[in-house]
Amino acid sequence: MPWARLCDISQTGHELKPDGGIKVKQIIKAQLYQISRGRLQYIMLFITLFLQVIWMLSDTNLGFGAGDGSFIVMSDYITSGFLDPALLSLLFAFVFTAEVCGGDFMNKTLNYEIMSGHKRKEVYCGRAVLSLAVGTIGALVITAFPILVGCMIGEWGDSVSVGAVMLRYGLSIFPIMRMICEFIFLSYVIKNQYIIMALGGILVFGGSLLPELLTDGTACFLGLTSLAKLYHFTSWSTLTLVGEKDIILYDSLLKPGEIVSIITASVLFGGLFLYMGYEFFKKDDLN
Amino acid sequence: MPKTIIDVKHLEKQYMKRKVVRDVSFEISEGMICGLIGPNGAGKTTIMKMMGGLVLPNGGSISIYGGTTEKELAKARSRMSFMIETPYAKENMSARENLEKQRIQKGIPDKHRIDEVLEIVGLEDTGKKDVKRFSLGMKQRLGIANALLTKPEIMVLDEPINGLDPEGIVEIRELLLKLNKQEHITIMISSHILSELSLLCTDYIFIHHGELVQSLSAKELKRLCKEHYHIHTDHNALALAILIDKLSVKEYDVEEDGSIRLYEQMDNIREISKVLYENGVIPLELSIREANLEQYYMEMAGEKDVEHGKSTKLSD
Amino acid sequence: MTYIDIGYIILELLSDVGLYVLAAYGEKALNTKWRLCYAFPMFFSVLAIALFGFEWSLFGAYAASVLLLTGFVKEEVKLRQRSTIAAGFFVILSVAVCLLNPRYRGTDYVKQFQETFAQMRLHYNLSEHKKIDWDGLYQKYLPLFEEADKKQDKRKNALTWQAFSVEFHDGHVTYTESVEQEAGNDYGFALMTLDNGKTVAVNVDKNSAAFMAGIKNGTVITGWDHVKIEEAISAYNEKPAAWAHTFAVKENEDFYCALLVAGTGGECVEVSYLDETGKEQVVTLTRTGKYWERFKDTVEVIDQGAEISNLEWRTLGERTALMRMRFMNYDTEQNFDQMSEEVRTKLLELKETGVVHLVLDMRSNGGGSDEYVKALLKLFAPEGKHVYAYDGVFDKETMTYLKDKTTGRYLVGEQESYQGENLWSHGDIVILVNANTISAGDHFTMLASAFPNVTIMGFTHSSCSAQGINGVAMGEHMLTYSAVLLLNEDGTVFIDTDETRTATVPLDVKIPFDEEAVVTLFDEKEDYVLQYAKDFLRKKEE
Repeated sequence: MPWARLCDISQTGHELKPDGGIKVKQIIKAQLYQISRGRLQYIMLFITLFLQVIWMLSDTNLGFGAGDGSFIVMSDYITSGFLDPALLSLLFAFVFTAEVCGGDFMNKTLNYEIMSGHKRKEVYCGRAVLSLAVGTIGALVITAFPILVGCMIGEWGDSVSVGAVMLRYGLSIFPIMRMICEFIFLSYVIKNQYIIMALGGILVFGGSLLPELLTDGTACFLGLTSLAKLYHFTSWSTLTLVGEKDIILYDSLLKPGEIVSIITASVLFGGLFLYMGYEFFKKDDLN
Repeated sequence: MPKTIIDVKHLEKQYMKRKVVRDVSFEISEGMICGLIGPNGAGKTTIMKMMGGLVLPNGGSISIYGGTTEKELAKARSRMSFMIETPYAKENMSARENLEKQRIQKGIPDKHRIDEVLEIVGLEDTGKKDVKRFSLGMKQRLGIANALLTKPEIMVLDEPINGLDPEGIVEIRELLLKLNKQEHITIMISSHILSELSLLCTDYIFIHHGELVQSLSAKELKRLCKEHYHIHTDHNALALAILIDKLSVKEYDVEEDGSIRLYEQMDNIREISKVLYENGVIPLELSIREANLEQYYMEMAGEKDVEHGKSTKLSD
Repeated sequence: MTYIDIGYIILELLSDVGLYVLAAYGEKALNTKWRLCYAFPMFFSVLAIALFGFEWSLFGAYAASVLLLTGFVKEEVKLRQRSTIAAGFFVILSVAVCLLNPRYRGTDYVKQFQETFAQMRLHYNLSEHKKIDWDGLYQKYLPLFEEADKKQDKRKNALTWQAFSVEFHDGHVTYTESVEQEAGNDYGFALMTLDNGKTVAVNVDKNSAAFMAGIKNGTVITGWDHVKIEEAISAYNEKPAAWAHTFAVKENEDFYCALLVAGTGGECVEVSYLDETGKEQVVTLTRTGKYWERFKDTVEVIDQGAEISNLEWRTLGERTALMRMRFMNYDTEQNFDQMSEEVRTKLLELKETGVVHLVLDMRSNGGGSDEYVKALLKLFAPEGKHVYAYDGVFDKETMTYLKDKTTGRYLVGEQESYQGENLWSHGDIVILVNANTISAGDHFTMLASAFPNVTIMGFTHSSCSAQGINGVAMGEHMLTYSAVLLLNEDGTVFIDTDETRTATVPLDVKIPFDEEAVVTLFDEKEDYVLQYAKDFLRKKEE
């Protein structure tokens, strides 16, 4: 009889009690375990990286060649509107957040974390931290990956300096984190992983259709427009007489006011959404 | 005197305009196996969810191990385990993986526990099979396994035998009894398979339309269900005095409305009516009643339905 | 208020009302999800700001939506009701501000000026050649833009830009918004100075008091508004007025200068003129309306070209044909070979039929592509290689064109050239230009003037503005300026005038602007320039 074994364990099983008490760490580790078991995320990651590289190769003629032997250098690739690849990398972050924050609502395993004695704060923070960390790093890696590949195959070029691009790349952490916070909030409200993923998809593909949605000075108000502003290089171009060749000068400087406004807005709105998500979750009935 | 470990006072929950739980108060003592009985929609699951911290009450208080604040309750819940509402697990992972995830989340250091628990519920052969391919019974067992993962001091189970085959039902019943007797685990279990509960529980709580109808121990219930006379006269107090005086009755109960239940002298109905009548008391009602848990419950549920203006049929 | 802002305000007020009602609905009766409604106004405020721009006048409404967040955090009925009332109050307050604030949804004209100025200063390629005093211009025009900004006066802003662009004396520096100019008052006629120095009335309105008084087309005007006419004109000479044309060549500017005077004056103006007997008369004329229309009309008459389409032909006589060249853009994209072929065929055809002289009417030719110029020029050029012009050498680091350190002249880059086909060596070619012949039109004129059988004719030189252009967009309008450097072989600037404003494109025959011209143009309403060209060719034959 199966239960006979249970009867052999005579003590109340101290070794079965959590050591150190219930903590946030456990939630994060459990999520990581769950993710490592899933195959879908790895597939998605590889597909996204692959797509990014293919996209880059085709846009710059590096891999395929345009027939006339011309190819676009990396710096030109970045200045000619790098928003679309950046948005695709965001999709990874959104899907990840949807899964981590929204997925466990649907199969009720999140309920078990609360019933196991985790406070609501721990459940919320654990998932939020994980989403922010993995989402941001993932998005940054996926953004940088095609450029690195491109630099190995081709060259950087001279349109903009590496430093200028690195600055913008580094600053893009802020809008990325802010948008992840917004998605964390949405996940906790909508509680359905698939709807959130769909929303993420709509946002990413809608964002790529609206390249000129930059109203100066108010770009910092939306995460998408902040990101678009960062990857937008204002340029001055002219032609030569002979052959009408382009001369393009890129203004790689970001105005300090813009930097400050993007950082501030990202921190404010990100924090606000995180807070609202927590407030909402704190009193929410998990049925 | 066993210690009260769960103390629920005037618990209330309202969704929109509907009060799902109204003014429910009860106490659970150490070592009890408490059965929560009521029809579907009575509020049993909601009460359990409130105990689990999933749903926040609109009124009243819950105290577990003396803790009332969120922090204390969370700590207290780490000593409990729950099994409330399907699904219990992530469907594209295997049983083992699900339990591993729960183990990590609960912070249990011992990895072998999973194997033990799977053996106890009989799922040790499922291997890498995804949970979504499990039958309902297997999923129930997984839920129970999950509840056994830590060594809880209290287990709160919402319809755990739902979907199990007869063998499984017996196994679980035996398991719970063992856990209660040998490991001193307090159990709160809800079900609407009353026959099973009557074999298992030490105490009962009846919930209907969100209200606590009655809470009593198994012994009391047995007594109430035992064959007895139900005597209702025009002057119940006098009638009781007469019976004590003239017939020396010792086993009796007085109900709320004053009617008398007499548990002895079951063959002596003639004598009883005669004695009453001779002493100036008119018996308005004199009948022999006997019930088991089901009958008791149906009657009580019917009364409540009438009270709430509904039909006398049980909502099921 | 704009419709979008009105919509936004209405949406906010409606949600205020809705949230007030929601609060009173009882906090227990509701699902906790309803608290999200209190965050809703903030969401759509942020969206509104991001899509339609931040507007300080609406700050109250933005603040109101943030205030409502307190309803999200705390679930007290009283707090929620009070916050919705306060929010509604702020929204209405911001509506008042919007209505009263003149800078509501205004454009920052000063910022536009500063940004455009900075970019132009950086990239204008004739700064040294024309000796532009950038600081001086900035000092002069900043206050004017500040004034236009303060009053949010759109027309003033446009006029200021036009005045600014005239300062460069570069036909390629223009502001594209067309507004009614402050041209002054109309007294029934315009003024032009003849070659002999006399200023006469032109384009006289036959219904005007002036005409009644005896002022006709060609009447000499001697005084205007209590001042000798010469003085009046020279006063205008110093002041670049915000007219539609900029003149790179000073002579061209002087040619039209008298036109500017004809609108000056108040309600009445005292005009002294010579009557038919030659005696000086004085008449006081009252303004009959705005001068702007008459001005435009007069210029149109003087600058007129043949009324046929681009690249269309017209017979001028047995042995003369005319081809109109209105601009240097062709509709089959960049396939100028087809165009060359068409013109080539036509030329050979004309040759067959005995046409000997050509008139290429390039009056008011607005320019276009240099490939176009080459495609046509080669047909008329003598055989052999011809040099068109040279590129400058642009350095991306310094963002300037490089100069030779020793000579100080620009370094010369690639050469643009073409091969001549010499299809019209048997006869004469007359090219008609006016002050509006510009850009590629200047190129064509300049290069063709070197051919032995070409004569350039017109009232004035062509515009002499030939550099490649760039522009700065400001809202719907644009400021264009010269940015692409075109050079001669020795590193000097190709065609564009320097600070002396002397014409560089040759004018072989300056058609006299005399009384005959005035009468032909304004009384007979005939194309005087074309007539002159025809006579010229006829005389040549004799």
